[in-house]
Amino acid sequence: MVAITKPTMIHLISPVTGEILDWRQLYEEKARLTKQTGCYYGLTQLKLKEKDPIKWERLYDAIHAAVMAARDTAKNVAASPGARELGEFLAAFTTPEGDTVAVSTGLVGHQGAFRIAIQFMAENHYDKNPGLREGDIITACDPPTTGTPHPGDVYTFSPVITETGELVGWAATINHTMEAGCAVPGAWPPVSPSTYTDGYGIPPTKVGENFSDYTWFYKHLERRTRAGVFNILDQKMRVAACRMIVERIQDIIKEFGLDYFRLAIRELIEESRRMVAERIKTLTVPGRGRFVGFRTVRYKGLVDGVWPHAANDYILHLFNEVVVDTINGRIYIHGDQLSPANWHALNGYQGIVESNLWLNVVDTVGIYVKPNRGFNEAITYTIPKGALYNPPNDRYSAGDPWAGSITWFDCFDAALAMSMRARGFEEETWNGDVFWTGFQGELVLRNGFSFGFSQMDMLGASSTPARPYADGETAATAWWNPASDIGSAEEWEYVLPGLYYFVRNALPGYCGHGKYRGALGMEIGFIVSEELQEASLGKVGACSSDMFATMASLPGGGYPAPTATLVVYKGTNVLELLRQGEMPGSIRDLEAWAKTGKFKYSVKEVYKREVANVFLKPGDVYIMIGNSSGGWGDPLDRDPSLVLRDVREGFIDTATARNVYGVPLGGEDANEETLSPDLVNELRSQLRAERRRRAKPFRQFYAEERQRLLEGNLPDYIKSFYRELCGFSEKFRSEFLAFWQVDSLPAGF
Amino acid sequence: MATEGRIDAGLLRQLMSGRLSWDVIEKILRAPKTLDRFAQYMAAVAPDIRVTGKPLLRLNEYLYIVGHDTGIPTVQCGRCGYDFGDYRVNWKLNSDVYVRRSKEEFLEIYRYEEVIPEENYAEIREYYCPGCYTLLCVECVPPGYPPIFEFLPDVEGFYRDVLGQAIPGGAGGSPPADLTYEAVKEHFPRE
Amino acid sequence: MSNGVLGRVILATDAGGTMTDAVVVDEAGRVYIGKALTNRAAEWESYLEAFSSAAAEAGSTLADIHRAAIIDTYTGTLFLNTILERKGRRVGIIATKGQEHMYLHERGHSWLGLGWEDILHHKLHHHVGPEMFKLSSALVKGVSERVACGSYFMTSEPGRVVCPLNEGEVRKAVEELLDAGAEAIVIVFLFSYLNPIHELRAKEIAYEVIHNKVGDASIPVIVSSEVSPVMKEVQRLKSCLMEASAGDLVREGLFSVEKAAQDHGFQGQLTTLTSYGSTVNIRHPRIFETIISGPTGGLIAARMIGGLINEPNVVTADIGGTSFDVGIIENNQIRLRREPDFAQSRLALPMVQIDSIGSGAGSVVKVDPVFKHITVGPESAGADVGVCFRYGDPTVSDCNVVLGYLNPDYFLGGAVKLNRAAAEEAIRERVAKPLGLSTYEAAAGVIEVLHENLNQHLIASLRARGANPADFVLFMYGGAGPLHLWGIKVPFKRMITFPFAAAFSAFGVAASDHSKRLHRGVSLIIPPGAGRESKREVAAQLESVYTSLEEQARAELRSEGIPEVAWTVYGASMRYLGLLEVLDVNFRFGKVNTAEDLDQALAQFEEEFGRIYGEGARYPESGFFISEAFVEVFAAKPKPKIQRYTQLHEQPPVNAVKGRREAWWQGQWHVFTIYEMDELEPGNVIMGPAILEHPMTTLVVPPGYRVRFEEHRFIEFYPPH
Repeated sequence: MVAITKPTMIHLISPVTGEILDWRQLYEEKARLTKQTGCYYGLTQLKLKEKDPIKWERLYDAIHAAVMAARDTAKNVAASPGARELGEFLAAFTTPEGDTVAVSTGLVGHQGAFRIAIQFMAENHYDKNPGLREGDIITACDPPTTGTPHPGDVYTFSPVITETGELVGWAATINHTMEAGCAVPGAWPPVSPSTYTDGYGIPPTKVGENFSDYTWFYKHLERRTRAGVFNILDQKMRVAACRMIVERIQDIIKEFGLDYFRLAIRELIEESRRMVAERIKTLTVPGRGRFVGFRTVRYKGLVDGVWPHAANDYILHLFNEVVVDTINGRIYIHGDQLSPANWHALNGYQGIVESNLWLNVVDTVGIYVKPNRGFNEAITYTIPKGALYNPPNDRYSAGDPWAGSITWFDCFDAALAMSMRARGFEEETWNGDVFWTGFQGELVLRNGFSFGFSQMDMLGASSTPARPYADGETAATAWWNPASDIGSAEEWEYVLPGLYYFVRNALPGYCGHGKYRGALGMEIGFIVSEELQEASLGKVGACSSDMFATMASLPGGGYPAPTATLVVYKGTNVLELLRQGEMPGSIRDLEAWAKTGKFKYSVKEVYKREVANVFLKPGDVYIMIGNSSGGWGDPLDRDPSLVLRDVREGFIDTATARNVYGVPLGGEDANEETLSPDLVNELRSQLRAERRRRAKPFRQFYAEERQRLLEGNLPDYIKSFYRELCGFSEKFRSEFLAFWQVDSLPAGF
Repeated sequence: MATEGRIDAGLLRQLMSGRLSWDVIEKILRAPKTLDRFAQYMAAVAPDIRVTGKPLLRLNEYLYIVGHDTGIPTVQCGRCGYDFGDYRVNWKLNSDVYVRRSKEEFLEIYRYEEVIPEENYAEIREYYCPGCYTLLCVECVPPGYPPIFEFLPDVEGFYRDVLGQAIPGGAGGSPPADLTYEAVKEHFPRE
Repeated sequence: MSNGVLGRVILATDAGGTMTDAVVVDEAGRVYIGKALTNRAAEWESYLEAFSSAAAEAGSTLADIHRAAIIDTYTGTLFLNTILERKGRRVGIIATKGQEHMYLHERGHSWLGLGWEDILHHKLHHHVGPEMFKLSSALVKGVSERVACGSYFMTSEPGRVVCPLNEGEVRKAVEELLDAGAEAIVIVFLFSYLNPIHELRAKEIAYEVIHNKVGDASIPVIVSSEVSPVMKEVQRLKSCLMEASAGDLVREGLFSVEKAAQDHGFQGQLTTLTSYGSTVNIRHPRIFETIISGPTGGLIAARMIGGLINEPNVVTADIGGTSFDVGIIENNQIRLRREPDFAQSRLALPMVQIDSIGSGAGSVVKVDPVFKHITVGPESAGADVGVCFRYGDPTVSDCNVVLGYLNPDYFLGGAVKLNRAAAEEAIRERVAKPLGLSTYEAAAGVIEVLHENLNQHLIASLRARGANPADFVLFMYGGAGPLHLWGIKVPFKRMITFPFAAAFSAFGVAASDHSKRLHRGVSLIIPPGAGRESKREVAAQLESVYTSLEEQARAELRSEGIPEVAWTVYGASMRYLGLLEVLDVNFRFGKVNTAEDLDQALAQFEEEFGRIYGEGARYPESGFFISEAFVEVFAAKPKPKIQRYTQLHEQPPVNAVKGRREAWWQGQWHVFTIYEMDELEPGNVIMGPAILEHPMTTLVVPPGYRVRFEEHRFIEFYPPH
């Protein structure tokens, strides 16, 4: 095989000057040229494209077809429903520096992060040791060094090297695996005080050659994760995809010529950067957007004995200031009011930022642009050292960064929505509150066999946000996985035996209201059967909080989505009810049956925030509720016939129709006759009068609140939140103090 | 429709009515985004808004930035024309507000106890127009959190550098300064 | 080639959304083609129209060909139209309690049918199912019942009942659905593919209630374990919805075609084509299996012709007006896809594996003026051809006219006159100027982009199966196939097209086998290092499933008047234990009876798996899992013969030359010789530059290229070497 005969030491060639460079020199050249000109690689002209645009497009089509085919074929080797059923898998081709040229569908955002692992390899001279050969397999899943956002995301790379030993690019793949061997079972540990409890994470590591993995790596996965078989098969899947990409790219280079290929792949990236800049000029109004989300992390009483330094209750300030420069076609994200990183699992490193950024460009100022590294080049973000997404050092946990970062970037999307709507692009406007809920854990089967997993019903697809012209829709999109899919209940139950689904429906009344409704979130409930000895289950997600699901206010001004939650009933008679042919179809059945005594339980537990693991026995009931979205506009503006339809379909109840929407519909047996325009107008003017009665002028509200602040009349965790934030973010401190007209935090703080 | 690739004020009005069939919405989403859109859009909203002055920009679902022959552009309610003053000051300072803090108050809006905020962690603020009591914005924040200033457009820069037009009346500076804190100082004395 | 006396003939129709293609194949193997615009309101009319023109070409009459017909097979678009035009029955759903909203969440599939760029544009995501099937909460009921799935950890029995069916709830549900106006009822319970007992009992109850309430059973009850007994509940639901809402209307349509045929003298019963490529009587119980059948005809024809010319490995490429469909035949076998998408729904249905992209002769050409991108399709002018006929935007056809490839006066044999000047102007103004190119460079550029799409799609389809082009022969067909054959750069072993390229799929419909394919979900595990004994058990279980499926298939054939079974194919869906995706293996050795047969089956699975995914992807260490067993039972059926000529002359007859015309090639005009394809004979060799015209198609032979009519009058295409 050719690969064997190749020199171990690879070289690179500058696409611009054509001179031979080593890997690190190439990075220097790229940085220098990009800085000088503002254009990627200093490509102020797209020479190859201008010379023959059609040949140039053909090259892109060829590379894109290669990564699409690789993904669609290789995902059939997957073991985890995440990869196969839900498409949580991405294949890409990158430049030698790791800048993505073309991506498949799937977990598209990760392309923004691939470059981090590859740059890490360059900086650490992987070209000298272990050396790079065609067919080498390099796997990485350590957030600080590899860009993988969280422990469950695993990257696998394979270099594309010419006969002459030139490194011309990388096949890059990622999938969200089932289990990462963290301190708590699953792939997103919500309780992890430091990087040392984040799982088996490895920096970029050569784990195989000639497209075949080393045995030690499989043994490592078997030993260091709770889902060896799943993880081995997922690795095989990523390797199969890398192999197909490398082989196809070699053909493409033969067809187009190496010199052409080397420059054209950089031009493709520069073109996308320019197109995004053009979109910004066309689609936006310049200005400043500010949105914020809050998330609670409560470790107090949870880790005190072992990790006292982490035993706090945190409120995370996910504040995003977005400045749109329409004239020059550039957008700036300011993270200078973010909470500081701390000893909990919700910190994140550069990879999570680059991934999220990319995900939120593709559907806004990146629509119908070739999706590649150019997206990231078009947006500038600054996050101060020490902040939540730029930790002071690499010891901070990145166990669960998707939970908060999705919300932080919802804020970015919201800011763009207001700017694009002001420009008149009504159709591209929505609230942008997209998020996810997941659960994970470990099952112990009757025969003693146990394994860990992540379950992705509410990760594969989330609700779409409400728009100025339409309601949100249940399970209809996911930025991180555009081909959204919650998978099949039968497939999940086959993989997670002994957890019987008893509900997998939209939950009536579970949404934010407005002229256009948010989408109903999902209710997903399981009965722990006798097939299991024990189940330890945790709940995670971007919309799990003691407060609200995501942003504190929405572009549309309607009511935000309620939080996700976990409800557990322990020691129930549900298995007996099943045997009698009585099956609950919803938490609402259980609550109703509990009142009549039909449903019995010893304990009911409710977790609004994330939870690491709840220990369950046969007969216990586990219900997750999540993924609703918020409303657009004033509910009193809603077309009464839509309210009637919602009641008919059981999406909302008549009390909500009356009290929130101002539509009186008589009883549950609502029909056309009971919808009277006059009664609606009458009730709605009553409700407006009620608003006038109970509201107060802002100046009065201000005076009362200021007094309360001065007296320090707030709960301790709220005060410590302000204290921590003012201590870290000078900008927040000055604005907070200026607004309340105090010189420093009152004594009570 | 998609073949002409032109989206005019009439079609935009239909879109805003919420009554367009999905296949037309699809065509609009796919159609090329053209530079004439802003003019078409302002023409589309004009018949429905009651403001005194020249509507310059849509700020959110109900509020507009309006230009005047003299003085800085102000924020006005498109429903009733109520004027919230200088657009560089967070309009919320001139609104009426209602705050929900108790479980009972949360449950008037949200149906299940299991999904509402923990009391004392968050409050729901409903900002109303003092003119027509339309709900302009809902905020869910920890107690003591200053009102969020969602969008401060550079209306002057937009008109001058993007549209190549002058706005009526005085200039607010480009990019505009956030004058919310000055306004607080001026209007809400520390007694 | 007309000849009044036909002897016995085979009739076949491929009715597409735009055109209805009809073929008459006589005993001598001669093929007569007829075309008509599809009449969606009454397909029996376009059926007759198409055969009138075919009969005319054969110098015969509608009545004569029908009297002479021994088989008449019709494939149409009845299903698609019924669904898209919302004409189907109002369906009520009974689901396992807690799963009522399958119809709302559609498992998150809000993007099916969108192109990749549109999928990334999230605001285009939208659930179409509820509206498409006119569903509302009043029409969806949940009932208590539960079957457990077991697991690959072998800790519990697959299909074990953990909650008995609550019959009272079923009765109540049916009552309420009828009150809500349900005209058909669908029952989908979790894991019914492993144990259908609850679905079947619920069906009995439903019929009781229907009988008591509305008397006659004019309200069909469809259960998922009978329609498609395989894993994944939402796909089963969608399949049932198709059958329940459209099935009867589709049958009615087919019966009206049958009646039209019989009124003109046809003695037999009408047959149609399943999506897995076999002929069935239109009384087939699972009519939704015929949901997409037209395109499968092409693969069937290709398999037959491949066998005839000793080419077991064929890539089929069909270029129509709107799409480019690629299929693959390996070792004379057509691969099936298990979860095809149809009308924005994902179905549980074995369907001939055809990969389509939205590039065709009618594809609309768009140019981004700022970034100078040419995009071709997916929007298509369909029957309106392009600016050269009556469409608003320039299309690929306009470019072919502008470049001199298409003869504006001979489109559909001259039935449609094309306006070259209009096409030129459209290309100049809307493509060339924005790109800063000359009109002809621009038109050539569009063709180049189209050809690149075609080549990439061919390569992707081959790679997805781990196949190497050098082992395959390309069959190019469809109205525009011969027109773009020269653009194919993939290094195939051979390239072949056909004088009847425009009706190739219809010909395949005539060439299809008559068979019944039945499958059943199973849950069989072969752990690593399994012993003889446990393998014997698995083999025995498989054997019993095969036996019962075979019995059902024979019974269905008998009920359609076919007593004899000619041969049977056995296979299984297999995976490594832990894997989720299955690989369908058609056993070379026949049925699995013994442990030794099972070993052969596993070996064949490993071999095919390794070829597709690479050796490194194999994982026997984890054991094997069989999730489905399937059987296809074939009946004897007359097939079209293909005439083989012994007299071969290289020199084309002089009268075959119709004239000369200039066409664009590599940046300049060349004089192409124009031939009338019907006048060319076996053995003839034509050197480029030449254009071979046929009323239904056009074959372009550029300078340096050459074609040869081989002994069956198939056309071998040779690029310059």
